[in-house]
Amino acid sequence: MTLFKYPFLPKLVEKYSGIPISELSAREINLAKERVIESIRRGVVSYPSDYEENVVSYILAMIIVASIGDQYLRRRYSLAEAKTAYRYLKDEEDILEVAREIGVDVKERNRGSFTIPLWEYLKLSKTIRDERWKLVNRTLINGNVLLSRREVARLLMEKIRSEIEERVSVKVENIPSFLENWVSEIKLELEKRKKSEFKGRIGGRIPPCMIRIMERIKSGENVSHQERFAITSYLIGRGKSVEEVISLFSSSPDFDEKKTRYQVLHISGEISGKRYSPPSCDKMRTFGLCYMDEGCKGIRNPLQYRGVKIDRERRSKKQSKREG
Amino acid sequence: MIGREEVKNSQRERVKSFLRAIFKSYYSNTSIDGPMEIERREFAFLTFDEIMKRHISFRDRDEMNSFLAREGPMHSYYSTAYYLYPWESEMERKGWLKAEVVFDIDADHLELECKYHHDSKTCKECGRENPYSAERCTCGSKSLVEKVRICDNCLNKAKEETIKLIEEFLLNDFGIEKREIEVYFSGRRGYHVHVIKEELMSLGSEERREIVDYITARGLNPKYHGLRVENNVLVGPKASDPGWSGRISRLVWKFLKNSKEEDLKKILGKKRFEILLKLRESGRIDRILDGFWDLFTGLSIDKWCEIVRTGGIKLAGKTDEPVTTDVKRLIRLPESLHGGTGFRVVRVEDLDKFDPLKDALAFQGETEVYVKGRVSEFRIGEEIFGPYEDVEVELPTSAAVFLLARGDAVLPRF
Repeated sequence: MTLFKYPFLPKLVEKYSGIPISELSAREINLAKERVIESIRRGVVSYPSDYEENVVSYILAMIIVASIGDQYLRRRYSLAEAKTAYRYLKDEEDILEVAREIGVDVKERNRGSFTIPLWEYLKLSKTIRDERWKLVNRTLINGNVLLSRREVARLLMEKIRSEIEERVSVKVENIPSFLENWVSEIKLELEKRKKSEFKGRIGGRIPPCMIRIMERIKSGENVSHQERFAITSYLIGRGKSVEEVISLFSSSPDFDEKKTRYQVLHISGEISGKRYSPPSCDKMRTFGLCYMDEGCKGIRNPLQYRGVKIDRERRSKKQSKREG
Repeated sequence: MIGREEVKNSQRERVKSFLRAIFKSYYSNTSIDGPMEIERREFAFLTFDEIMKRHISFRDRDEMNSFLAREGPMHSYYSTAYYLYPWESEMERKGWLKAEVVFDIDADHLELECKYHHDSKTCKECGRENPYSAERCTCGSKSLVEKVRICDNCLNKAKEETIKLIEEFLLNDFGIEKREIEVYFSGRRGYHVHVIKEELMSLGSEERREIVDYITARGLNPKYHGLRVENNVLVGPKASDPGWSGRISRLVWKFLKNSKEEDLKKILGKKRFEILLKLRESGRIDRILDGFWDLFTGLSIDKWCEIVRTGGIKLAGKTDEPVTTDVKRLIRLPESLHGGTGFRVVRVEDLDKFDPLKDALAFQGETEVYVKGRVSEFRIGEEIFGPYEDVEVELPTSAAVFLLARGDAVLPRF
C-alpha cells in the first residue's frame, strides 16, 4: 500500500514500536542517527526506500530527540519530518486516507476540491501567517472551508508537525545504552548548528522590543511576519549587511535561505529600490510588540533609541564631571 | 445646618438602598437557571456600594439564587469559561477547560448619529451636563463622564446588527445550528449572542480573533476571492458565490449603484464616473453580479480592491472584538438585572418581535420619584413618559427604577 511511505501513521508506529531491541539491525540504528543529523543540518529528512526501515528509524529517531530534551532540536526535527511528509503529500492520490489516519476530518467535494470543518481549519492554520490563510480570505460553505489538494497537504503538514513535536516532548528517562554513543555525536552536531547562527553581533543600546525579537529567533521560536519585518528593517537601518541579517534568521526552525534572502533584499531596497524603515513605536504597540523601558522616553521610532541613549549618557557624564 | 453635599449624599444613599431592596425582592421571587455546568463557572458581582466581588463559585443553582436574594447586586456576571477551580483568584490556578463563544453587539460601538442627540457628558467637577460632542465642560474641566440614554433607533440598529450576525455569519457561513445559539438582551443598548457548540469551545484567543476578523472583514483581500485578470479581461466573484466572495460582488454592485456622487468621483475619477452613469442607465452594471467585472477599461485590480475596502466594509458584521477573543471574559448573567437601567438580561426567542422596553421589564406597581433637572421623553412598555423637569411624578416602577438607576431622579422627601 502506498500509505506505508508515511512513517508517522499511528497504525504503523504502533505496529513497529513493539520490536524488541535485540532484533534491531545496526543498519536501522544508523539510519535513525542519520535521520536526526540530517534534520539538524538540512531541515529535512530522507525516507529510506524500504518502508519498514523508514518506520523503525523514525521511531528510534524520535526516542533520540526526546532523550536529548532540547527545545530547538524538538522544533527543528518535527518540522523536518513534516516538511518531508509534505513533499509526498502534495501529490498524494490517497490524501483523504492519510488525513483519516492522522485524525483530520477532510472531505472531497469535487475532484481536486476538498473541505475541512471550520474549527479544525482554525486550529491547523493558526501557525501559518500568510494573508491567504486568513479565514476572511477563504471560501466558507456552511461551516466548511474550501481547500485545494495542496492546501490540504499544507494543513496536514501542520498536524504532523505538532503531533511529532508533542511526541518528542515527553521525557525519556532511560535511554537505551546502544543509543548513548549516538546522542553525544548528535549533541555535537546540534551545538555546531546553533553556533553557526547569528555570528554578527551588534553593539549595545538596542531597544527592548528588538532585543526580544532577536532572542525569540535565536531560541528557535517561529516569529510572526511583523516581527521579521521589524527586526530586518531595524538591523538594515542600523547598517547591518544583508548577510548578517540572514545569518540571524538561520536559527529559525523553518529557515529557508532563498526566501529569507529575497525578503531581506526587498526590505533593504536592493530589489525594490525602496528601503523600508522600521515600524514606528505606535505601530509596534498596535502589534503588541512594544516592551518599553526607560530609554524609550520621547522616541517615536525604534531607530532613535540608540542616538537618544548616547545623548543622555553624554549629558549625564558631563553632569557628573561638573559635580565631581 | 446640613450642607448641600450632605443632602446630596443622603439622597444618593436612599436611592441605593431603595434599589438594593427592590433588586433583592426581584431575586427572591425569581429562580434563575444560571449557566450550564454552574459549578465550573466563576461569578462576579458589583454591589450597590460599588464593591467588586470576584472569583465566587456556586455548587448549584440554589446556592446562586440565595446569594442573589441576599445581596441584591447592582451588576451580576459569570465567566464564559469553564474552570476546574473557578474560586481560585489567580488565573493560572483556575484550570481553564473551555469557553463559550460570545458576541457582543452594542449600540455604543455602532457609531450612531442619535448618540449625539441624546447622550451627554456629566462634569465630575461641577456636575453640569454637557452635550455629547463636548470635550470639556463649560466650567473648563476635562473630566467628563459619558451618560448614555436609550432610544428606539439605538435599540433597532443593535437588533438589525444582531440579526445580520446570526443569519449571515453564524447560520450561513459558519454552519452553526439555531439550537446552538442563545441570544440575550444585554440590559441596556445591545445583545449578547452565545454559541454553545462543543467543537468551538476549545478554540483559543487567536482562533477566535480569526472569527471576529471574518465577521468584520478585517484583512479581507478580494484577490483571494477570485478577482483576477483572465485573457485580458477582469473577472471576479458573482453574487451567488458563498461567503465573502458573494458578499464582495453584492457590495461593489451596491456601492456603484447607490453611493453619493462625490464619493464615487473621488475613487473613480471624473471620466469613469461619467461612464458609470451610462452603465447604470443601460443596466450593464448588473453584470458584476454575474462575475463580469470589466466595466471600466484600465481600472487596476488594486483600485478595485480599494473600492471593496471603501464600500465594502458596510456589508461586514459588527461585533465588539475583545468580548469574543478573551477566553476568560465575564459576561452578564442571564435573567439578572442591569444596575444601570433596572432591565432584565432576558433571553430572546424571537428577535424580530422582541421589544426590550417592554419584554425586559422586571417590576410591577407604581413608585413616586422626584425628577432632577430635565429629562426628555422616554418610552416604557406602550407608554411615553415625560418630558419632565424638576417635578415629582408617580410612574410605573420599571420606569421609576430606570430613572433612579441612571441618576435622573431621586426619591421624594417623606
